[in-house]
Amino acid sequence: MKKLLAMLAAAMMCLTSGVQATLPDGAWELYRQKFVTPEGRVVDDINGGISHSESQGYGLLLACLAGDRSSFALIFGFTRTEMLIRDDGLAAWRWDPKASPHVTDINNASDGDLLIAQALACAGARWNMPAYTAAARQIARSLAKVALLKRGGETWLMPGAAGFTEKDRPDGPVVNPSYWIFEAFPILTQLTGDQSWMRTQATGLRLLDTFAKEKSLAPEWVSVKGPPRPADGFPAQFGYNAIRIPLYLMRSGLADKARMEPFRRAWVDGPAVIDIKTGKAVEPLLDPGYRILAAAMACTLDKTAIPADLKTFQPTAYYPSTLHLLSLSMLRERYPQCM
Amino acid sequence: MHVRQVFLAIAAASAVFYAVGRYGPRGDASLDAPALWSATAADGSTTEASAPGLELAQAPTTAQPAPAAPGQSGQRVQRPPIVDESALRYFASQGDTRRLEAELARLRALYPEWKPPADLTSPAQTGDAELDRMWRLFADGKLSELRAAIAQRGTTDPNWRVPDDLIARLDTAEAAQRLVNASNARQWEQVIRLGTETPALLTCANVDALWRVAEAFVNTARPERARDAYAYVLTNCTNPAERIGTMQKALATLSDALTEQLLAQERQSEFSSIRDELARRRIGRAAEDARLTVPPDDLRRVEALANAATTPDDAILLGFYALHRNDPLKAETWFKMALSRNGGAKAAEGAVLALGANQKYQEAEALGAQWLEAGATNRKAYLDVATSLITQEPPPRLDRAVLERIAKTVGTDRYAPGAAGLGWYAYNAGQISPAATWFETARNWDRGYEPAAYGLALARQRLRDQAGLRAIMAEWGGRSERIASLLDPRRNRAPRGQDVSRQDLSVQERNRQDLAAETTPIPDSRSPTDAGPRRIARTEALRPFVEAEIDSEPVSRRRVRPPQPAGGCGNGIAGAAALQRGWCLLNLKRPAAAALAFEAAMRTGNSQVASDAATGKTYAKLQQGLTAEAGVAAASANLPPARRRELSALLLSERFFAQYDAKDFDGALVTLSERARHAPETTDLMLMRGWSYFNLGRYDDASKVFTTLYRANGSPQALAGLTAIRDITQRNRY
Repeated sequence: MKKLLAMLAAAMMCLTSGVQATLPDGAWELYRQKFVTPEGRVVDDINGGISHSESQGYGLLLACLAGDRSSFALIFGFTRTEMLIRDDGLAAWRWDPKASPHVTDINNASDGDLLIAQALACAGARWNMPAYTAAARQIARSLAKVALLKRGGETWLMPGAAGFTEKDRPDGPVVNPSYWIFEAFPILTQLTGDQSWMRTQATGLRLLDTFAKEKSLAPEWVSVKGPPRPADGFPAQFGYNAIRIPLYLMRSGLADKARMEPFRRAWVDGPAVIDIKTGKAVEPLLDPGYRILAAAMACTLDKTAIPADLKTFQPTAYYPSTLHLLSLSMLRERYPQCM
Repeated sequence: MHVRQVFLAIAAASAVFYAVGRYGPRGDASLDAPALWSATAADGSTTEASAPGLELAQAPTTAQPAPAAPGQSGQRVQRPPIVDESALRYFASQGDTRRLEAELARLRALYPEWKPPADLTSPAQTGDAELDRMWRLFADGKLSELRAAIAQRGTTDPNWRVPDDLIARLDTAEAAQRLVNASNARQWEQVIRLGTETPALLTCANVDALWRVAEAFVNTARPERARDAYAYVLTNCTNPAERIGTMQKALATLSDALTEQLLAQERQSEFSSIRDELARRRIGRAAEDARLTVPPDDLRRVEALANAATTPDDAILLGFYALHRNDPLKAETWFKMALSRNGGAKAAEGAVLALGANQKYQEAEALGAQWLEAGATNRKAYLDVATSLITQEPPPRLDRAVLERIAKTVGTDRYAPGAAGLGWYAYNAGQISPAATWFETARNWDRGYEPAAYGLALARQRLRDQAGLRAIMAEWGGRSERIASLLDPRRNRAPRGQDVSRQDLSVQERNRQDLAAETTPIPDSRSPTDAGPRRIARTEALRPFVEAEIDSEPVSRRRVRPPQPAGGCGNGIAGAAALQRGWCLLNLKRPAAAALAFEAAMRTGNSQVASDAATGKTYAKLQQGLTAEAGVAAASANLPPARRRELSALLLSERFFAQYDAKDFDGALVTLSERARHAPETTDLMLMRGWSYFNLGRYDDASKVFTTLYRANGSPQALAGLTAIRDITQRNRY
């Protein structure tokens, strides 16, 4: 137990103190100028200019990683007054500038809540702000209450508080493997002392390893009612959500070779949305923010050098640009030899 | 547990409101509420066990605890207050008098011994341009940017501390926004939590927030707490619009009893409009529910309002009250008053109903006809009185235009009682064939409407349509005594036309005698000389021509077969006119003449007319009992495939009934199968299939059919079939 706590403390240290220089100079500033409004809203520009708990969470996390305390306060100010309004204290997942009221769907998205909690923990530790830490703890506790499903020895992270359980769908429970933000679990455990977050991590890893053993990619939406299989009503694809899985594994130091193999193999010819059944590319992913995901895998697993143009950052669209910054920060911190 | 704590916390917070009034005698009084809240929530059983004060402050831990921390309050009262006047100076410099006044009032309430500075327009003593910018951000409502500015300054100047006043106001303003957002998203627990954690928010300066907290209490089934919030406004706040608005909200969400309690806080009859509204509400409810009584004062109040007004609403309300309290004469007066004040559709609906209740059907129908486009309730009222009008005995003399609009409205709304009413009107006028058509229409619209079946049975009896009569018997004999008695010689009596009411419908156990009578084919009473039509097996939608065929002339004597002058159907001898004449004659049950007219139309009309005419001729031949000729007519015409299928199905239905009548049940079943290739089997034919099996002794097959039908639509006639099978098979056993 003590050992575990020491390990967690080390993980926290790693997150909070080793980050000073993990983003390239000026990269965050470019991102902020392009995607963060003066009100503190992080805009998903090619998705109708809406914001969501995920974009706010990424914005907060990047601001903390960049050491930008002022932007963090700005983004959290917006997030708190506009989105952290649910009865259970979690964030409404969607905020639409064109709608009135702006929150058009009060449901939460668990990955957004995870990101916000993780970022608040980062900020609380980094700037010695107990108010942020307290807010992080509160979200973690509430999320554990409404979104963790213990079932048959596993602890599943449900995609939201409502809509994905056995009662809600014939193929339920349905989960999204890309919602497992692995780097957040030790932090939430440390914050709350609640070991179910580590069990959630273990369940997520077992799910990915099951697919890896079958030499299959993880689909975006998985029915775990029986043996894991693509959920009904969703395209059985390794798509825009799922491409974050290898990034999250690398960022959290859980990128075992065997676990990463399906992702590496699928993207041998470059990153793409992949049809799970045929293994064929459905749509190439050309943005540098996507290409660096493949390049990072190639470097960390096969020591292939990362192309120079991907080592610098120019903002394109919100989502790939976010992934780009998270990748660069991860490489600089964990794999300096790749940079 | 959780709910009880919130309850206690709110009760405590309300107590504070009452105790300290708007700002309270002690500067820190309003801070007691969050202290109470944290104490009650401290065991962590709440979902969101946040720490107020801490959660919002931006200050690092190394700084002094924020003055908002409850522990500090005792000290502060004893020492001379250090009043933060920066907000005051900022608002003064901006010329923002509204905020300046509010801030002056706030500071005076917080620090009674404090004197405002003489020269407010001089720059703030600090001369801090950055702080000035922060106040500007606050005044502009740029709260997140203010957070960012405070954080930024904390980074560049570690010794700087954000002024208590600024941070307290920022916290409150953010909480206000968050409360509005949570309230709009109907997150009531969050609204209550925010209100409880931020008592500074719940003042007369922000009545909207108080209203939203009250709304949250209403929506979490705590109306007494909502009453408390409204009472706080009435006790402490002076804005007349907000006071009346508070009462309007209370009226809309609270019980009469709680609303009355709040009315006690009235100042100078400011709530007389609310009292009016309460009286109206009680009358409205009593109009819906006869068990409720209305205090005479309420009635007097609203009657006086109605008489004094030039608007129709109170008159309408009183009209419906009178109508539902069996005083239709008074109701009529109120509704007519409302109509004269442009009362619109609702007044018209009431007037139509009241006139109907006063048996002034013709006036009611004429009025209702003007409001048919106004909505569903107007149409319903119209259809009710129109049905009453046409089912009177003796039948009233009605203009053709009146009958036509009744028929049109009945047809548009597929209103079965109205169609049956038109059936009775025709029947009572001795026009049995149109009557049968209307009854059949009514039956098609509402399969379970017994009066339609009864009327149809009578009409078919008069038309000597034995097969058709038997079909109704099979369907209704077990459920309607009066239909069953039509074939019972002991109880056979002359039918009366007015049996339109639904109450005659009675479900009764069929006895074995009835069963035997129905399951055995009725002897065919037709003689060879009886060339009259047997039956038109048309269950498909009624043709539009039918509705124009109601003779406007009521007859004083019953005519068995009224001689119809051909002129009644026009003189068309070619094309569309001949086609029209054919349908008309067909409907008058003059199939031979109709066939000639259709033939003329086939020769002279365009292809559409010719095709329609071929169909008509087929019907005409069927009416003459000339099935074979009908088949020829159908086959000879150049018909579109859909029409051909329709006619084939029709002809095969005819053949089926002929075979069934002749007890050729095997042949009848073959015919049904053949028909099924052209059209899906209708419910009544399926039922007859069941009886065919039954008569062949194939009880298993019959049972399957009846069971399917019964499962499909709970059909009682299918149940009758199943009962018959059970009776037969059990009888065999014993």
